[in-house]
Order: sequence, then structure tokens, then C-alpha cells
Amino acid sequence: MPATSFSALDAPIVLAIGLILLVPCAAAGLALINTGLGRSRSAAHSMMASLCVIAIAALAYFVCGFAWQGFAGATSHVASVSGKPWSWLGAGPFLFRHLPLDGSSASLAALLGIFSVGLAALIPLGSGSDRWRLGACCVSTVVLAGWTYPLFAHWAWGGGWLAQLGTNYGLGAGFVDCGGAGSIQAVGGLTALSIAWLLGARHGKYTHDGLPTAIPGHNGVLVMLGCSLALVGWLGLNSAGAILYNGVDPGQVVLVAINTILCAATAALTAAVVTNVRFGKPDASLTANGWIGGLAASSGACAFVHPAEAATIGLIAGALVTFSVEWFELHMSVDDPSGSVSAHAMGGLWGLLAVGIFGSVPAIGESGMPVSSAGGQWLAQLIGIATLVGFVLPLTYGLNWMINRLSPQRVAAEGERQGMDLYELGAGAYPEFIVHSDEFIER
Amino acid sequence: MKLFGFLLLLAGWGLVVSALALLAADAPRNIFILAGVGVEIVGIVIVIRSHTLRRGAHD
Repeated sequence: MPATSFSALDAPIVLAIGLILLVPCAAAGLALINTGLGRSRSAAHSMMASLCVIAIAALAYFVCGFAWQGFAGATSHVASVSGKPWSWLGAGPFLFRHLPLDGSSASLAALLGIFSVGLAALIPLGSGSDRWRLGACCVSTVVLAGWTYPLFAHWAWGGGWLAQLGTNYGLGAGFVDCGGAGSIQAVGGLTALSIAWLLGARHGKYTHDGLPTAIPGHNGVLVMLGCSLALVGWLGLNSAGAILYNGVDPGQVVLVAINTILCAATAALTAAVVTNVRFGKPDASLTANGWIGGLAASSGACAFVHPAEAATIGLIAGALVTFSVEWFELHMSVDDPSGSVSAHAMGGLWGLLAVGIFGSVPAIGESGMPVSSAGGQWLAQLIGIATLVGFVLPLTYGLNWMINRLSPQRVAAEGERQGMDLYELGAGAYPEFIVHSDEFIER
Repeated sequence: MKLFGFLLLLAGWGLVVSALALLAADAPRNIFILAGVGVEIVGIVIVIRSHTLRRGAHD
């Protein structure tokens, strides 16, 4: 095979490859956040689970995930509905066969996908923290990375029926999801909600009266470091996604990057101000959740909004995440140690809706040619959100419920008391620490 | 009750997809899509409610 010189590659391809290679920073950031917001006696387990989940997600995506996700213009299973073609599943060969790994748009989609599927799979780890067995989270990841994620990613990114809403029904440019607010964040966040429901709350989280007690994260420094790393990853994710899936001009990466940081900044500051007003002091973990929620929200419209609009999207995302963390914990009895559901699912869904409210997306007419009017974009976004809540949530809950029936996903009570590190790995992350058992005192 | 909630979620999504596929005119299509979203909201409320009740029963 002749070697391709670096200068022979187009500048946009080099840029896209560079941006995609930043995406693993987001995964490292999420792993640190999940670990920092969990208990100290489960810290090594959390990092170990993160590595295993990323590895399994990459393998599952390699084996069948990318084949089912596909990419725009590739072969797919198409159903004709009222004379309109509905592409519902990719039909490519498994194991990346016949895929030219040479900088073609298909190979870049595969590269971005193999990293971003790991990111999606890390999100449920946060909600199952301190009680999700290692083997169970690996099996759950196979299902997420091998089926749920590719299915929705095909619909949104692979030329599927959601992406075709513009050409088939004249709904703006079809469903727009620049950096994975739906495909990565909402799919991962809704799976996190399913896992939190199936596992139940940690022992000691709720009193007999049903009131939640605070189980603070064990290492705020890890959490803040994770937030910083996540920003780097998200810059790559949003920019590469906008170029690959939305055909954005590479020069627009500047706009995407500015919108991403503005969205995260206003979201984090909003969370800090809201918690300061409500509790007298800014809350570090909720501010971190606000930051991640802002990043998740930015992934929807980052290439199609003005910076001022991106700041507004972040402001709303910060408030939404802060209040929804409390709402999930207090009123829905959902024990989500990392705030994954609020930051990723709520942030991602809001980001998708924001495309319809604030976005100026060049619309595609039913002839397939760009048209000036972007009317109907909000409806395309609403249909995408309805698909995530009405189809992906029952699907991911049902699949994980079946895994739970075959083999319980929650660790035994002894494991939770002892800590996941000692119980499942045989060694702790901080051997000099003393395990505090006050959380197990009956209240 | 939780199963009923999930079935309502799927039914709402089915309504959204059916409206898209079967109705050509904008107004009725949009109304049926919004109705489907409404059914989904009822479904998610029931799922949440059933989870909260089940947790209360465990306590």
C-alpha cells in the first residue's frame, strides 16, 4: 500500500482527524467526574469500570455497531412509507470490512463513532455508581454500543429517517444534532435513568420517611479536573460532528468552539449562582453538573447559533440541570450520584430543542436542494426528542431489565457495605483510608 | 403500572410516526404530532409515579 504523505491530505481532513483525536479527553473527563462524585471505597472500581466500558464499547462498535449506524450515502435498510423512503438501519458489512481507512468521510465517521460510543457508554456508569457490578455494566455496554447507540445514530447521523425529515417532509433541514446532544448525551442519559431505576438507591440514601440524605462525592479535585478535560473533548466532538454530519465549513470550527465554551461557561456560572442563592454557598458538584449540562446542551446547535444565543442556551441549561438534580433525587427517588441523568439527558434534550428555537439551519426542500425558509425545524427537533423519550427510553429500559432478570445487576448488600473496590477487585484505591460506616446507621 | 407507562410512551411515539407518515397536510399532521408528545408526557409521568410508589412500598 503506498504511503500517503501528510501534505497530500486535504486540510479539512487533517483538521477533522485532529478534532476527533481530542474526543477521548471527554471520556477521561467523565471517568474522573464519575469517580470523584462516588464513594472513596469504590474509586478504583469506578476507574476500572470506565476502562472496561470504553474497551467493550469500542469492540462492540467495531464488530456490529458501525455497520448498523452506517453513514450518509451508504447502503441501508429502507422501508417505503406512503411513497417516501425511510432508512431505518444501516446495512454495511460487520468488522469494518470494505471500509477504506484512509481519511474518507466514511472512515472519519467510523473514527468519531468508535470514540463517541465509549463516551455514551460512560454516562450510565455515573448513575450506577457504588452499586453496579462490573460484569453487569460490561454486558449492558455491549447492548448499548452494539445496538441502541448505533440505531439512533443511524437515524440522526447515518442518513436515517430523522435526518431525512427535511427532504421527505420539508421539515427544515431534518433532525439536526451537531455534536451528539441526542445520539450521545440523551441516549447515554436515558440509559443512565434506566440503570438508576433498575438498581435502586444506595443503602443509606433515603431515610424511612423517604427523605434523601446527602452522600457527598469523595474527591472534588477529580471532579473539577474532569470538567476541564471534558471541555477539550467536547471542543473536538462538536467541531468534528458539525463538519462530518452537518457539512459545516471547516472555518466554522471557530464559531463552534466559541459557542461550546460560552454554553458551558454560562451553565456553570448559573448553577453556581443558583446554588449560592438557595443554599448560601455555591455547590461544587452542582456547578460541575451545570458545566457538563452546558456542554451537553451545546452539542445540539453549536454550529447554527450566534454566540449570544449559545450563552442563553447555556444559561437555561445550567438552571435546568441544577433544579432537575434536586427534582430527580427528592421527588422521583432516583439516586444518581453523578447527576448523569440531569446533565446528559436533560442537557442533551434541551440542546436539541434549542436548535428549533434558536438555530438558523440552512433548510433542505423536498427536492433535496437548499431553500431559504427554515420553517418546520422545531417540529423536526420535537420528533427527534419524542423518539428519544418515546422509543429509546423504553428500548434501553427493556433491554437492561432483561439483563437484570438473567443476572442481577446490583451488587450484594455486603459488597456495597464493604465497598466495590474490596468486594469486586480485592484492593482499594486508597488503602490508607478508613471506611466510614455511618451511612449504614438506621435513620 | 410501570409497564402501562412504558406502553403509553411507545404509543405516543407511534402516534408521532403515524402522523408523519399518513397525514400530508401541515395542520392535522402537527396537531397529531403534538398529541403524540402529549401521550408520551402522560406515559413518563406514570412511569415516574410508579417508580416513586414502588420505592415508598420498599421503605
